[in-house]
Amino acid sequence: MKKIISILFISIFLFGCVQQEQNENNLTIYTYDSMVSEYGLGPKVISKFEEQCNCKVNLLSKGDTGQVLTAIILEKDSPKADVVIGIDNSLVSNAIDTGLFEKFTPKNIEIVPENLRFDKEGYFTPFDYGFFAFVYDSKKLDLDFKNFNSLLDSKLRNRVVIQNPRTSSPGLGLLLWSVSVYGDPGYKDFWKEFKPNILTVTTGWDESAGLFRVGETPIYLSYATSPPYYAEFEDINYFIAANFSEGHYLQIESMAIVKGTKNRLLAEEFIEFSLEKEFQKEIPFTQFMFPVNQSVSLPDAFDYALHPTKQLELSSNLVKEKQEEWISEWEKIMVSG
Amino acid sequence: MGKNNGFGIIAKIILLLFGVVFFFYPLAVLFFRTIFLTLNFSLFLEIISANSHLIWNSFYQAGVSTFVSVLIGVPAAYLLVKRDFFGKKILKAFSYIPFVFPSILVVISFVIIFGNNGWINSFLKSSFGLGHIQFIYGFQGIILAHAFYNFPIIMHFVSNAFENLDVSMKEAARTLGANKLQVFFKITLPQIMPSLLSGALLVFIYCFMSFAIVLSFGGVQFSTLEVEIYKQISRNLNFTVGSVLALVQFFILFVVAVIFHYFSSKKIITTKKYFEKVKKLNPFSIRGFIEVSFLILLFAFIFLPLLSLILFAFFDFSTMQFTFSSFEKIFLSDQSGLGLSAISSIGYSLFLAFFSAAVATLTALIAAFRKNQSFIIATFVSSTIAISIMTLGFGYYLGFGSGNLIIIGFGHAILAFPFAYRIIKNSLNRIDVECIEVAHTLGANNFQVFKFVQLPRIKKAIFVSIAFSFAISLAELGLVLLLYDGVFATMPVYVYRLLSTFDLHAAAAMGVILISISFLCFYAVEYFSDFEVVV
Repeated sequence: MKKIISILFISIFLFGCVQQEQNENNLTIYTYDSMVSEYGLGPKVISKFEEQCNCKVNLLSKGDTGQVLTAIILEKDSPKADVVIGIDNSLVSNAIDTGLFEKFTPKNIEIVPENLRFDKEGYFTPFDYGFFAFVYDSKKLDLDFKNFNSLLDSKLRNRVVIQNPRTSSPGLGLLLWSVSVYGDPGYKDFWKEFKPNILTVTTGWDESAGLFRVGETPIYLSYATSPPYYAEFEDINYFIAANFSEGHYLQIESMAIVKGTKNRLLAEEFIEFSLEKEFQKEIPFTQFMFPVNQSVSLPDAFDYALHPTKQLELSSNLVKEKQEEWISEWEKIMVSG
Repeated sequence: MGKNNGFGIIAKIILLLFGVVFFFYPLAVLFFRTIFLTLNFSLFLEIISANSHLIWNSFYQAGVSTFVSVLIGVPAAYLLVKRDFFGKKILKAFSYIPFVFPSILVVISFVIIFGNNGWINSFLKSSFGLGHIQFIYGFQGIILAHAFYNFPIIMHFVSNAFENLDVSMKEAARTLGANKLQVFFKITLPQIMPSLLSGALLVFIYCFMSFAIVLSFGGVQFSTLEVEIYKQISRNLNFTVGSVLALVQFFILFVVAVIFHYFSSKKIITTKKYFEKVKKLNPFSIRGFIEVSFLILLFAFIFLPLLSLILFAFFDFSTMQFTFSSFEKIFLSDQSGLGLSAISSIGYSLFLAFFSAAVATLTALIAAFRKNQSFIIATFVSSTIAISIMTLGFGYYLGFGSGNLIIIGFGHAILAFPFAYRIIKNSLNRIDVECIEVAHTLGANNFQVFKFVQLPRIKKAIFVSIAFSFAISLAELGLVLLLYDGVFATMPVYVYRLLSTFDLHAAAAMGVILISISFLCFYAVEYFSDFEVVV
């Protein structure tokens, strides 16, 4: 009996320590969590690609986008991932700086409109995009949003929920958005005036969405493409994305090949596949973003999306240079008094 | 273990392997790679002094949280022991709910109840026309949530002490002319102090390394060491600073854990000779009225978060009707059409929980039986209490890589180990030494003593240890999220995912299932034995 227990114990232990062998025909992809969940994009497109390439794809979640990058850095000596999905335009220069990605431009890059090809250095390939926007409950908020200054209305005192720029991409997006509207240092005055209207700053976007959904807040920082979600899955058409005349800040999500991959050809094939219709048509209802492939027709619910007339974006070099300063200035304003 | 060397050696090896491979090795890798390879001493000090406000924040926050938990927990323990009232058993059973409430769900149910547009504020507004009270955003929210989690710990520690009070001493003092106050400060307090202190120290450690609650309610304004460790490693990609802070936190908590270890092994267990009378609660006296009001508030504090979850799970707010549609959605109408992932998440959770409960209980049993090397055991137990989930998680990531369910199971076993150890050790200490000596004198060897004398007496403790470890693993999210690769989505992960697709109803439904399983576990322990689950 004792022997059996000890043998069992040791074998479990050994089993735990055995590293999985890298297979030639295996593509390993790191991404954020919502991509791999059963409601996400992953399950819809991975099996299609597996049929096409006759290979096996391991789509692995590493938490959120920041943690995906963390994992890549931690594993830099013996990379396990071949492809990374989900680095957005504000994180891309940090990602390139790590030196852990390989240059690649897909053959079918022409599918992507010129203005969305944001990585001029040729590492990252965009696959979807969207715009940040404040989404509000029009039954609870009687307010005519015209522009950024509408956020300063006293009716919103202690009611707006936003996200932390240090921990969330929409949070960072809003900060960059405010800089592109008011300039530097003008954005600081905006935040000082806006602060009394903020109910709370959440770590991630999902906590904000939760607060909105239980009726704790009538307005939160989200995406121009969030109303289609409520329209399609909850039959609610009075949750509206406020249209700001200054324009809306653009977010582009992208993917890249990890340096040191042993499956470069397969990785290339996957990225090219991601721009094709088979992949792109699943984006609206899983990512709630716009597909980069313009030949994909959008579902009816996307009529509720906000289609901004003007898109805003700061150059990624400026973002890289100034981001830390802007975030710490923002933190100072939030923490003071 | 004396005469049964084979058994003893195997046991020793198992414990050693467990400690070295799954605790010492990952932490050594973490600290070696990030600190010793890249850092000199002055830079080390620089990082600490730059973050000294966070160290202070952690102390301050944990101190206030502990104080409030004691403020609620001690009167609760007193009433539980000294008063007889309707619903006492239910209150006792319900006090386990916070143990099994995953923190992501606490956050959302606190918003529903205590939020600016939550139940309490809506009630105050509609009945008294009051403006809202800000309960949860900022420091007070952290304290409120920590009180919810931790006052039951104080309550259990202290009610145990109250039950073991030596009443004869108290009566003697009264006879000798001491007044009530003198009796309390000179007789009662010294007797419950070791229990109160060890409970408070444990609560302090938990609050010090609390993560999800501080992250959610603290917002930008309030951060602590543990939150900063996560931000530095996961967001700023600054592993050096993150690890230095992790090391500092570990040493601070290790010291607290050693003090805890000292007090909790000093806990006096008297054999009761005189029972103090349990009085019936009389709501018509002033004192009785205060006591009843306190109990009602206490009950509401524990029960409301659960009620909010149940409502969201079973109630459709648009039609105002009870429905099982959230459960149907989870199990029947997911993408695969088979409900596979909801069921597999229950499967992963149960596997992890059983596996880690078995490992934690087995190793705790071995550790509790070791009479020699108590210094090493004490150090190991204190270290496993003092290690935070983020630190352990990053250590595991560097040491073992990710995506291995068994490894996660061992991680959960490390988290559950100090509880399992304390439960079994306490029970073992209660066995009359004479009994064992008599058995030895009569010619029993160590194994026979174990089998016929000790084992029957600690059977219940083993059962409790398994149930406790089981529940810890079941509710744990942080370690799984760091290591699961998106593959082994356990129940808390499933809830987390449902929350991020903002399907609160389905998340609540899954939460109700998760809490029910752990709750049944505790209830079984409470029901089948008179064993108090005291850690």
